[in-house]
Amino acid sequence: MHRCHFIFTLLMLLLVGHNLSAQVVISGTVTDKSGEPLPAIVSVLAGKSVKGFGNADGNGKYSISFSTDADSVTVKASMMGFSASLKTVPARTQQLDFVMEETDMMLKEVSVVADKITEKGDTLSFNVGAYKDENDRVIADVIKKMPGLEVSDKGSISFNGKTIKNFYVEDMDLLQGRYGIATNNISANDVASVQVYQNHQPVRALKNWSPTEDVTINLKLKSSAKGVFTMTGMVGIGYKPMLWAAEATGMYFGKKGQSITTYKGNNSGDNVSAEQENLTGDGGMQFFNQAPLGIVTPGTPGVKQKRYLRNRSNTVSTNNILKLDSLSSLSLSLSYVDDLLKNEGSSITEQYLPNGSYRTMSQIIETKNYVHRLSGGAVYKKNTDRVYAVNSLDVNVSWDESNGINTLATDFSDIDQTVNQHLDNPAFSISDKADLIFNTGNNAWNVSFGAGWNHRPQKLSVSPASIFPDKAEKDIVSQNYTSDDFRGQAETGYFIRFGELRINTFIFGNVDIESVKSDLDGFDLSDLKTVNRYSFGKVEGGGEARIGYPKSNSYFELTLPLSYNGQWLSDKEAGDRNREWNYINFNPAIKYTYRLGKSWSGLNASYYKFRNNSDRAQSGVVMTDYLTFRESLVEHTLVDKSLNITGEYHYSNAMAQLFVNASASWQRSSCNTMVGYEYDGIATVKNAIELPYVSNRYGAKANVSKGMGFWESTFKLTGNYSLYKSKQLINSLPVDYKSQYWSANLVYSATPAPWMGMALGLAYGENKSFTEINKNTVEAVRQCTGRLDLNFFPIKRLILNVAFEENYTNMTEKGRHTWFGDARITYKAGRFDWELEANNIFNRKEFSRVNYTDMDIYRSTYRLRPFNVMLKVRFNIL
Amino acid sequence: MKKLLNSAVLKHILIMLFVFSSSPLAISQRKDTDAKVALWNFKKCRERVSTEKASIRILYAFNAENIKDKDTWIDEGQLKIGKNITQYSSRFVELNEDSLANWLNTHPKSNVWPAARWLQGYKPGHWIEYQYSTILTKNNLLEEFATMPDAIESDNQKYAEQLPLQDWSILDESKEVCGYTCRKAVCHWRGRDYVAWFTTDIPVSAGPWKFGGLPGLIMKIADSTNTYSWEATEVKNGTFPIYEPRGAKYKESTRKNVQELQRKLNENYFKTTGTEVIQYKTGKIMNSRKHPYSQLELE
Repeated sequence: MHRCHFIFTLLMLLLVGHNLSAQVVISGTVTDKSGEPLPAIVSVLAGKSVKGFGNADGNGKYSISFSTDADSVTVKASMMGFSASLKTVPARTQQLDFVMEETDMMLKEVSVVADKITEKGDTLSFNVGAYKDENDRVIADVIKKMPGLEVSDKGSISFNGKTIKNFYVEDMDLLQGRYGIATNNISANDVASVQVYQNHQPVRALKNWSPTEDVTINLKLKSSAKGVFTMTGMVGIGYKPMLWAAEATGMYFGKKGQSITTYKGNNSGDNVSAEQENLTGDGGMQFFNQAPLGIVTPGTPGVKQKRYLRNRSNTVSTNNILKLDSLSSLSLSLSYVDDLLKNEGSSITEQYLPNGSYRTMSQIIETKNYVHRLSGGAVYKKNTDRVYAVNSLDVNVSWDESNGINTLATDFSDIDQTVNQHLDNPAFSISDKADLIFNTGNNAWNVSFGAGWNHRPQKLSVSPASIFPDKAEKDIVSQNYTSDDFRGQAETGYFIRFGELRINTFIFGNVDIESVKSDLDGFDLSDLKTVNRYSFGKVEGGGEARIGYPKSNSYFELTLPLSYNGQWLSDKEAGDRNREWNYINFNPAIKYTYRLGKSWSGLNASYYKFRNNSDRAQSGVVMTDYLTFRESLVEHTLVDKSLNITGEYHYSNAMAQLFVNASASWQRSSCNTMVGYEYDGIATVKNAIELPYVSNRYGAKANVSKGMGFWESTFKLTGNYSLYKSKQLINSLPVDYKSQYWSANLVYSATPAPWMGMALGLAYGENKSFTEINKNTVEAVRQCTGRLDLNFFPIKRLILNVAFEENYTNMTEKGRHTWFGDARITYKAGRFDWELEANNIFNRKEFSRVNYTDMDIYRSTYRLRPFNVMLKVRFNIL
Repeated sequence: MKKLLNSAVLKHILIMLFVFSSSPLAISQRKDTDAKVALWNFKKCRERVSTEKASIRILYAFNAENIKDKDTWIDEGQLKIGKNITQYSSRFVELNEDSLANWLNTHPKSNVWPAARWLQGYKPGHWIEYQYSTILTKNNLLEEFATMPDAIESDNQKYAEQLPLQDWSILDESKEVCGYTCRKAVCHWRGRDYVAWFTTDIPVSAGPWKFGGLPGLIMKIADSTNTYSWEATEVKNGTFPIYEPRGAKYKESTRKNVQELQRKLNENYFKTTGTEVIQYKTGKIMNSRKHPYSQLELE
């Protein structure tokens, strides 16, 4: 009642107060300097409060009545295009005219900027528009600039230190891991956002059974890119030498299905077959049978492949997914790669000798690799909350050939000779995997089967045989090596909960049979066999219990696998070598993750004891390339015990665009067999003896990535360190050695002005391998690269790019600094984009690089593509 | 005292208090109807005519759940202020038409044309009157050009009414909206209570939709239930063509008739348009999906 009284009094006071103040009318006209009437806004202000306001009419007349108890008021006339006119007058009824002055003052321009990254639960959405500039053509160009996301040279993507497990377009798994096809073909303009699903369990039926730290990327398309079939094309010609390039891409992303079909071909150094690679590593079945033969090729230099790759490539691929209903789909893929890859260069190999000195071999190398590869796959997938059913079939056929012409000279013999090598390297594999999971809510069970066959008949011919003095019988030395691998696997398991505990127990059985036929022809090794004909089999069966314990912020998991492992050898050449081995294996692992706010850390530890007799199977010598012979005289079981411990830390703050991760690892391995090299003339004979030793590998890695409002920039800083301590057998003497490596890498991209974009990359790396004897004399290989990309968009249709690149290496005799320059002009005219590009402007002809492999030093020099110019036109066909 | 408790004034205050306290729970008007966009209307973008050019353009987020994420907006409204005309229309629709016009120019021989490919926002293909109507004000006269959804796209209508329409009280509170210092003003208009934030730094008595009449531009406005809201996201100088309303022919009508049709289309699209949708399995005639709908103008 008291309150009502108060409100009443207040209302009364307000009403009375209103009546007490004086009623005032101010009226007049508003005109410009020439007397033209203006429809301005006139408002009356007393102190800070607005007492009254109104608009002048078509004749410039206004009238405002208001009541006030103030002595004076301010009358303000304002209008767009005129400067505001203020007059302070006594608060009484009067005539007040305004003459307004014109002004060309512009409004303060503002706009609310959309968040670059939005966070919803475990999903981060990177707004493509916020990171894209005129220069970005395909979505991979934009992903590279997003903080927290990293694209490797191969094209694989990682988020805050974790390599992604799945890549979807509009939540469909169109590409089954070959997502380079998506990132390199889908236009940046068609993607609304790049979504990162953290802790993503792709199997819906296992959602509450198996927590995971896996990351999946999903491209969310703009509505303009959905439901329409688009076809784009590119043709280009260039000089020198005569260059050509062509592309055609057809794409469809609909509700019922998706499809990408591409043709790409060129001889201008673009490795177009790379985008067909499976980047998630879970394509068909993995086969471990050997294809040991090869020709001696120069390793890959540290510069962009486009600078040295001499190719003639044609690739065709089609990937299709059809939704059978909302939760099941059928996908089909087919690809064909036809490549001719030529390498030219020279190399100097310094092989370490136990006395601390080196012996040197130098080669001038010219190789040609013909690649013909046909792959097809079909996947049926049903993924509901209750049932998960997948069947995937993979078929791969390839018929590759390689030719090499190497001119060899050494400092320890008087050989100076040209060696021709030819390798036939066909392969055929087929595999099928099926996986079935049922989830009833209280428990779940799974069954899976897999079977596959891989056939690899290799043949290496080397001529003239006179490079092997005293040993060659014929003019051509040839090595045949055919291996077949059959694998089968079956598993069934059961998932159950006991309170918080989640227990997954399963039993499994695997069989793996490798059969090898090899024959070294044209060689006389009186004391050694040159033929192998055997099959080596492994069978494994056992059970595994995986106990998971999730608790608010943490998750603990213990894996306890116990299995029987049987191995057998059946040698068709020497029946007396046939044997069987039986083992019991126990390889436990623990995993612990802890989450706190925006960060999570993980600890993994595992112990693995590996016993293998496959090295005993081979009794004859195999020439793996013309400089290396593999000789197995092992008469014991390889036992390798290893302990792995990894710790990792991840922090992500989407609002601040800050992502940090660090990891450290330690691997201790104790092995009873030491691998060694024996030098015999030009040949290196690789062998192994029973000699226990321990090796330790330490690694540390850290990465910081941050997006900033200043210049719309992103920087990514990475540091790497590794130390490997091990032993090697060189000319029958065990040698302790250490390999040490560290590197730092900075990438900075920015948009300083609306008409300009830039990217700066700096990398520094140092590595060396040394023993107690030469640790003070060995020089570390230091390598440094810097690249600056500048992009200008003076008008909307025109893009200018210039890039400078500097490569430094300390150990080459000449050419320690190598400068590169590239430039491109793009002009967009209607439906055509014209591109004129100039590569290697400074016309660098060679690039040299030095690196350590175990204890040996390789110095290699590559012939580069000369200065060349290319004109390309991109257009929409549909 | 007891008498006073029952007085109309107090009742009003209590209602106001209730409405304001419940406002965070209220959900803004979404477009979940069966009414889809009349695609044929878009093709008329080829015949778009611009009679006047505006020198200022203000963009507004309409019914945004998150102002920084356009996917949650029902529409991006644009207010173009010219010398004689002020026009409020949909920026999302205009961008779609720009892209379509560009597409038609680059594919001159094509017989088919993509329809709503470039539309953005929440449920881009769906229709709501506040996105598909254009408001034109000129010489104290306001005209609404209402474009109707698919199935009755030929029934586009227009009507005119007098300006100004809202009776504002200006309060002393101020805050910043989209970089501009704004003052608070309140009004009751056609059945709803509104809070607006306007800036005298832009001396234009206009605002989004039909709102205006303040001594400065309205940068933010929402009704007390937050069913309808606009917030400025961009202020820009430049030259912006003011296009005549999309779809050349609009039948002369009245506010009452237009709004009644718009309400019915939201409430039961199939019934209102006379479209019979027969369920494939049962053979029954389907009704439109129900969704909570409350029209902006209640009176």
